[in-house]
Amino acid sequence: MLSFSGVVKRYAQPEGEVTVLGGVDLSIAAGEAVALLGESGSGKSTLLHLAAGLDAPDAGRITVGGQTLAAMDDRALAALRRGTVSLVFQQFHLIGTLSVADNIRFQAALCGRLDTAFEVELIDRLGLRTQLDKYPHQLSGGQQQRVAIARALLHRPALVLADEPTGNLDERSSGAVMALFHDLVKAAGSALLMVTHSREMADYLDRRLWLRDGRLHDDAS
Amino acid sequence: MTPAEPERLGGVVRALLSHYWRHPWQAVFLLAGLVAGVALWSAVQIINSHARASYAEADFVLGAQATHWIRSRSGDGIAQADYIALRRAGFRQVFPVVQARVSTVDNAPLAIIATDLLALPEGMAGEGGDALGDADLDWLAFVRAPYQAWFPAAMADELGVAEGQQLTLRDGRRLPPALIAAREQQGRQIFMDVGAALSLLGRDTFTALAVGPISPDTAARLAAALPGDLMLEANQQRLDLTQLTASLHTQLTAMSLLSFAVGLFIVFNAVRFSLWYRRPTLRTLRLVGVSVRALTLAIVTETLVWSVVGCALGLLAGLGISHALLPSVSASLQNLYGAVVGADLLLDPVTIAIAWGMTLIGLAFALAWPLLLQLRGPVLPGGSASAGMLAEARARRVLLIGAGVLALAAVGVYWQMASVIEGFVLLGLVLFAAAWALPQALASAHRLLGRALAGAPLVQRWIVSDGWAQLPALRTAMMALLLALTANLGVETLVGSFRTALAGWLDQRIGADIYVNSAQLDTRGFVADPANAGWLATGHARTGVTLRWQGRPTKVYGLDTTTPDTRALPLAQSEPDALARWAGGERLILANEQAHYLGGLRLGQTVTLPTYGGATDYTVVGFFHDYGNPYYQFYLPREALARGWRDVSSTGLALWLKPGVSAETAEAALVAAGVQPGEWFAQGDIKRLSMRIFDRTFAMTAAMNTLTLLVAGAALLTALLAILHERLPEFAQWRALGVTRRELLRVIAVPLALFVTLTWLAAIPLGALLSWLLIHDLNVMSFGWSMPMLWSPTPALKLGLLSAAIVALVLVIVLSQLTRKLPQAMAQLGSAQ
Amino acid sequence: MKAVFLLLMALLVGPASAQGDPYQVLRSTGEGYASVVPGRVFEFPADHLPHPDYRIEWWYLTANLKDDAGRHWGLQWTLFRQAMSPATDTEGWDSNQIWMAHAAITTPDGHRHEQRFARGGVGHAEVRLENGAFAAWLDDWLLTGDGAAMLPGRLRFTVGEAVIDMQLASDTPPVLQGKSGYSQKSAQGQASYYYSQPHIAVSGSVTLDGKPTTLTGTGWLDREWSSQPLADNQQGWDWFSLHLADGHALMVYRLRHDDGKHWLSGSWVAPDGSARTLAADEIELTVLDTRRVRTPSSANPEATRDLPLAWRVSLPGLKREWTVRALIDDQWMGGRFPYWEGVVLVDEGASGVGYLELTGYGR
Repeated sequence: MLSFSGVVKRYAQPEGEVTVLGGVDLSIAAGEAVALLGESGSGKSTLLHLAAGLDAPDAGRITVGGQTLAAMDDRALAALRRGTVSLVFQQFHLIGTLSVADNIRFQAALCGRLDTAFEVELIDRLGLRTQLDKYPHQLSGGQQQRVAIARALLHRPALVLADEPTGNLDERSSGAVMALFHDLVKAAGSALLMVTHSREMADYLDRRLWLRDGRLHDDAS
Repeated sequence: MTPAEPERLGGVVRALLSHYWRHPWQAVFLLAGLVAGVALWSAVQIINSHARASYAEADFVLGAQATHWIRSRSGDGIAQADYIALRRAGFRQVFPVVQARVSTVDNAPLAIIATDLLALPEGMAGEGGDALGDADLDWLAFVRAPYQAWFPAAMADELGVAEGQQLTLRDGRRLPPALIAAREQQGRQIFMDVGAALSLLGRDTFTALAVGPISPDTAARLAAALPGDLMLEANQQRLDLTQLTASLHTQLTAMSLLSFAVGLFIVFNAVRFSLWYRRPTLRTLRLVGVSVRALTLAIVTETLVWSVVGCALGLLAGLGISHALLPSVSASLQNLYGAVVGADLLLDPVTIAIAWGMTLIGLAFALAWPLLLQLRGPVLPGGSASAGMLAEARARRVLLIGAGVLALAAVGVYWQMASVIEGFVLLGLVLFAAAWALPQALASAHRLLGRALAGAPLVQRWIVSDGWAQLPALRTAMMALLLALTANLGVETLVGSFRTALAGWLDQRIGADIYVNSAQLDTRGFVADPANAGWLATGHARTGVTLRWQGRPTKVYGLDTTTPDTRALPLAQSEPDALARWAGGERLILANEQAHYLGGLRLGQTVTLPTYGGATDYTVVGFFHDYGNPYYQFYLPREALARGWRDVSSTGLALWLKPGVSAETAEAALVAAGVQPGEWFAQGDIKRLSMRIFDRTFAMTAAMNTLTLLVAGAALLTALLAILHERLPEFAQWRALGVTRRELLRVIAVPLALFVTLTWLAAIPLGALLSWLLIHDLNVMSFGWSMPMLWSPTPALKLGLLSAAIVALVLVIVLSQLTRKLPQAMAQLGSAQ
Repeated sequence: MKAVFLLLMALLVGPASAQGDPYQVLRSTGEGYASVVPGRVFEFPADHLPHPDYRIEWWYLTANLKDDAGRHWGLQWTLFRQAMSPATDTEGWDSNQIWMAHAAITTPDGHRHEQRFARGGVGHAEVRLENGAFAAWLDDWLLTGDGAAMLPGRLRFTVGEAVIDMQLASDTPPVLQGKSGYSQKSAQGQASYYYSQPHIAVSGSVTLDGKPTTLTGTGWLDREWSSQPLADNQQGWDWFSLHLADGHALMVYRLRHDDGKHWLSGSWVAPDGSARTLAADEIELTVLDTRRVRTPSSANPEATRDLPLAWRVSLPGLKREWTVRALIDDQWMGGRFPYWEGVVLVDEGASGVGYLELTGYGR
């Protein structure tokens, strides 16, 4: 579903150029859930951005669903993000001028894939049934994150990229949301690459990768 | 305050101001608003005070004071022998003045003024500093054939006259070689030697004699020494001009204040944005323990810094703009009032002080007050998006209530209105009531649209609903746009209506084929001469006297009641059958509208005029339109005028040609009768000349309108850039959700287009209301002219297109910014704020 | 020869004065104008009238007067004519003639002066016969003859508030200066036509502040016209016209040269009007005293100049010698073209009175 081969990413810093990713190879199969762990600043988010085509690598090749990102223009990348790849961030970025119901449907509406039965399932399982007519600013942080999750999954994207999706929530609710999130990703049939710094969160998933010194490692060793 | 505080204050000010270092374009917009507002206001102030200073010199002629004038009662001009006799009798204060209007080949009017430099009182009094001491002046060449024609630089530019060139007039005569130079009080006139002027004009009489400062005794002796046809009159021009032009200056000031207000909108926009950015800075400063007092002082300091910088730059720009606008204002003043305005502009301390004061007050409202409000709030933000939306809704409600109060005040003022200044207060109230009501109107319209779209696809609803996110930032820009559009539409309609009324009036009034104004011609004899019967259908020889009525110069004309122009005299108001009764009646008089609106005269009232036999009462039976005339004017039948005044002078002759007769036949007959070329005008020429004068007169208005619209466009740009920068992370997130760039542009453009369209729609009826007030109240109070209001959709459509163009331009700028900045924002998505 | 500089400065030096030597224009050749040649036959009264073919011309009257108390008074009245071009004179504003007039009065209380300008051709200023009588005027400054001759006649003018009305008469013929009226001004041939009337009986009144004072005394008239009177190296002059107690009249002048070799000339006129021209070697002029005089102008109200106001005038051939001293220092003609001209006493008044003119003294 997602593959990196020999991906290199460098950033210009005041102290000189820093190599964040020094030749990363990665392969995630369809429906597979992978946790990406690592220290702060190890380049986890960068890797995720590259996977979503939000940023371009300095070397190497990234493919999503068999398509090479480097070969895609802006329009094709937008199409990829609206239909194939969903992003869930620590900040929820709900659309303030739309109702909760409209926010949930937003991405599905963009790509024109609305599965009403799945929508009912998502809303019910995320406990948003009573919130549908409200506006984002009327919800709590946890509720907003649930809306963001529903929005990301409703159109059953092939790949979900999540960056600390529960980072803004307290520990207890974050555990519950995390479990639910994992279940729903499975229900949507999506592959998942999730950045986290929590081993506990990572344990929910099929596979764990560590990013250290710009390279991926299979275990904590 | 502890001793350490001052040092700390410096740090706090630096911390606050460092914001502008990091975001220089915010400083640019803040300054742009201040500079635009101050510049337009001060430009008009500079022009006004300059014009007033020129009126103070109105009793000077070409650098010499003229306390009195000697004029001919019969209008024949002053014989040279009479002038020489006065000089030889020891009246050395008397000097000759020749003034004339001629026209260029393409029929532009030119004013000529001439005198004898050697005869000016004290003209050559000392070594330097006198009339001939001017180092530029080769006065020997000036007084000697081929003479010199002095063109002020601005006039030379307009006419395309180069130094040494001899301008050819319409009738083929040529002016003396041009010199690009100007004397005091020359104004927009061409100055030359009296000998040059007399030979150019083919005259042998002076227009008038000016009299320098004289004692009352000498004045009495002088009056006694004058031959019968000449009279000595005190020069009241200074007083007259000050009175006559007051309205025009009030109008200019009002327009400049509007510009200042629009400039302040830009400041509001810029500040709103900088507030948003500086919230963390203020918070941090509070958290590290800086006292509210120190922060307040720092904010006051910042306000002072901006006011000084903005005001100084604004005044400089204002000086530049005033230089650019001066020619059109001078043209207005000279065309409307005959006021001569010089070319040197100066900033006086009062203007500087007022400009600074206004800037400071504006900044206090736009910058200091919101900053202080923020200070008063809690140290840690409890503010959420919902609080922001609630605050926005509350702000709209407060503005709406304010608008209601202003509207009520406007109604109150309307019933009480008596002066031009009150009229402009009314206009200001109406404009600002509308502007303050606009945000709520936009919100309501937007809500209605949202409801109408309830069943529409989500993406469409999303694009439209984003207006709610934009409205807070666009609010002030839309208010500025409304003001600019309304002012433009109102003034356009006024000018258009006036132009149409003037053209129609000219068509009615200028019905004859040829108009002659010649001192040489015996007008009645010429009309009666059987030799002219072959080509002449009718002639109308008018007579007139000049006197003062209600303290103002007033002309009473004697009309031939049988000629076509008199029989079709367009009356604005009249008693039944007025013209016929007036023509046959005793002691019935027609007055111009000015006498009605400004002089307070009503139909059926009597006017008391000083006739030869003593004060005589005349009853007013009608008021005629008299556009462009700042003076009162009355019409009597010619016989009635002759009965009342002995020293009536001929004031012109209108000639109707028989069908098929060529103008050349008539012109040949005129030349044979001693009329000089240039002393007659064909009908078409007069109309063209009048319309040209009209257009020149309103050039200033058009210039101010354009500038106001540009300022509003700048406000729009700042607002959109603010939106762009505040919401860049949000836009990046949307892109991450798969929103295309085109959809993003639509999100920005559609609500904007919606608001601009709504604002434009609101401006149309408001503009009509404004022009209605301008035409029916202000114009009448200012000038005493009434006219029908002519509303046309063309200006609204033109402004709509112009607004669309401005929006498009602004969008292009925003889009290019977006394209440049979005990739980085996308790369930073998800990272902590 | 008096005031040649003044006239030319007044009428030719417009803006050029700012650019270098104003005197340069005075040395132009006068081409196109009639030239001054020896042997001209003078005719009176016709020669009292203008000679417009020549570039410059003046009518120059001074008078030394006394009131009943024996106090010294002085009058100066001058009319200058200048042709702006060599064209034939025409009537009307196109006339190429320009006029300037100076007037001054020295009273026991001080000195006052005034200047005026006028265009020719329109009657503002003229010299001509009016109803057969001589008339010269600018505004209301007026010199009239009883007949076609200038004298006997009447002079009326004002200086500020002072009103002057004088009767003039003479019973001696005009004195033709130089060689029968041909007055050479330099070795290079510059010259003018020049005649004088040094014996004029003057009487009349001066009304000052509404109070008339009766005055009597003697006057001096100079008439001169030329087209190119000055040489390259002449900077200014010192000029004396003296009425001596014994009835003689003396005119002497020196044109100051750059090199100190001044041009001196003069004439010695007997009481009966018979005159003899004085050659350069017959005249000695010595400065006895230089005075700091206030010479205010509108540009510099505090200006002063050092002027030679006391002289020894010697005619060694005639074995005559006088001390000539200004009556008062302050007789500065501070107009547009300033100079010093005023009443002088000969041997403190014992030997006579006169007028002295000093030009070309810089600040």
